[in-house]
Amino acid sequence: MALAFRTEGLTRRFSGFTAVNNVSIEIPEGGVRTIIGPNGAGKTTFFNLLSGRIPPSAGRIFFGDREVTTLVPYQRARLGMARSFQITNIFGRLTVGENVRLAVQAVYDGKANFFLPSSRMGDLRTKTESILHDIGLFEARDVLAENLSHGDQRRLEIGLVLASDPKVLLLDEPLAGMSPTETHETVELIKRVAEGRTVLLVEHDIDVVMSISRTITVFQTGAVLASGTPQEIRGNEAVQRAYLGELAE
Amino acid sequence: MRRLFTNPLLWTAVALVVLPFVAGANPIAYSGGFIDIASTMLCFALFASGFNLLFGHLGELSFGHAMFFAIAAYATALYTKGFDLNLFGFPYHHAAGGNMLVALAWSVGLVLIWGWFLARIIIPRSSGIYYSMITLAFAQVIFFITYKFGDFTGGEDGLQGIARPQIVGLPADWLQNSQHFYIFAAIVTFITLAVLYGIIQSPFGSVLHAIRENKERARFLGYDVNKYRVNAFVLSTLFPAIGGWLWAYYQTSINPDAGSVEYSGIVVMMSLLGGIYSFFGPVLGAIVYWELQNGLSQLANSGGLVLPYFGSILSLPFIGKYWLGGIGAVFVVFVLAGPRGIMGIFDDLRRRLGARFFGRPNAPLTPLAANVTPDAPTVQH
Repeated sequence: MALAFRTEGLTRRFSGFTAVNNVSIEIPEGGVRTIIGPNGAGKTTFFNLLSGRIPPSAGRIFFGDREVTTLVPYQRARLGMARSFQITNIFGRLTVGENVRLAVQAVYDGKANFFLPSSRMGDLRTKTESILHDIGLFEARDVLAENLSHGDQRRLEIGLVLASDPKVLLLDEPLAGMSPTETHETVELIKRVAEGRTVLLVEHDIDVVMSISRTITVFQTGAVLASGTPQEIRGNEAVQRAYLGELAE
Repeated sequence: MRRLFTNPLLWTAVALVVLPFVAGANPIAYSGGFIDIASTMLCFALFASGFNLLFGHLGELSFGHAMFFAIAAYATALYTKGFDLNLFGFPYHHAAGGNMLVALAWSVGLVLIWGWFLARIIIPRSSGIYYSMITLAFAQVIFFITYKFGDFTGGEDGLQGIARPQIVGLPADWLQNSQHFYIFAAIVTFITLAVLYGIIQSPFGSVLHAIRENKERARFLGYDVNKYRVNAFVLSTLFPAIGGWLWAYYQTSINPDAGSVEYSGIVVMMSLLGGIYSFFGPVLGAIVYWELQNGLSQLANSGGLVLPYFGSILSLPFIGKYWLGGIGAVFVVFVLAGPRGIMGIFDDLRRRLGARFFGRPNAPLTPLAANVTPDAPTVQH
């Protein structure tokens, strides 16, 4: 089976503290692949390494067949990798529509010249509008992004990630701080976008994780504790002790 | 129709037509040509607008843009007057030239090459305050070259007697007339600003705004942020170059002041005064700055405020030569009030007066303006 990501001995140290320790895993293509683990297990650091936000201290990263260890974020994004952040990361003082259009336009980067008007840039506008409909923010397209509710901002960020039509989406706790209704809508959105793509998800909501994940990888103290289908993870004793135990009372 | 009325280029055109009739015309005792100050305003409107492509639209403060203004002005002066160089024992003589397009090509060419060279050095290595300081340092290098290489640049005195060019089909001395020069400058300014407006409205311009708002997000969307910063820097030097070219012809002389720290600072002030998030802001800032400077210096040096029939009613001789402090005070007020400047005030007024008269802006003209939540979104057709 084709792989979305593969890491070899991936390690990241922060002045003496090892956040990710010698992780060698393979993440197959297709569906929702979730990473769980207690706080401080190294999930976000692992995400940052995959997306190029920070360089690894040791080890190698492969995206598909290609080594991306030394590539910077924009180069990885162009290979078809897009990510959202744990703390909402959008263009606050631009409108919702501009946010999405910029994300769609990023795919045209390099081809876009100074004076080519947006109308001549392929299906830029159509694509922008379809993304806005997908994330349910079409009506709010003229509102400044910073004036959206928290849940809508989270959804806008997923829209930015979707806009470039990436092969792999990395979503870092996309449901954090959402109301039950918003959570439900966003989960449906994630399920939809996962068709034909790979979604790598970091999430704490265990019910959601169990219901939408094809595979789950459990991190603990910077290393992989277990990996498998939701059923296998549910039945894994080590995982229960380390993580699920407290929830399964 | 509403689109038309909110189009900054329309307002630029209106300003260019009205300007010669109002520039310098304040109730303060004033002697001298109104039209002269109007041409000065245009040179600085180009200078400040180019600078603001970086400052307002990309969000980076260059503190050395006067070097591009000066390089262009000196290139025009040297081309027009002719010069002798002795390069390592090889003498080179350049005869005086009168073609203004060749002068423009020299000015813009030199500035773009130097701008590109600086951008490649500075941008990958610095941002924030270090970026401002490095641009300042390079500007000082240019300043001292103009100041010290007296044989070539005229040193402290600069170069005088730059002949104004002839326009094909018009009498040779047509541009000697100040009013004619203003017409020429206004046409050049309008075309140049229209190009700048195109750049800001283009997809490229949107990316600059995105980088201003959130560099990291732009990177993770796939934008090569440094490439955009380099391109924006090079483009931003084009407008001071055209301003400097006009300035040399307008003044018919040039001295090292053109590349001084003071001039680099003046455009920061003009941009903040007019409003850095609006296209028209720096243009308005340049106009208001020179109007204020002119008015305050007259207020200080003459009989005070002179009204028709009443004569001098407000004499401020104690200000004396410290009238510049007055500009300083105005500047302080606008910096404290925020970067939206005079255009920000207009924008608020327009919002308050409502959609009936002025139309609701499709996208906020000044991004920071809209802490006020816009009303219900309109449907775009």
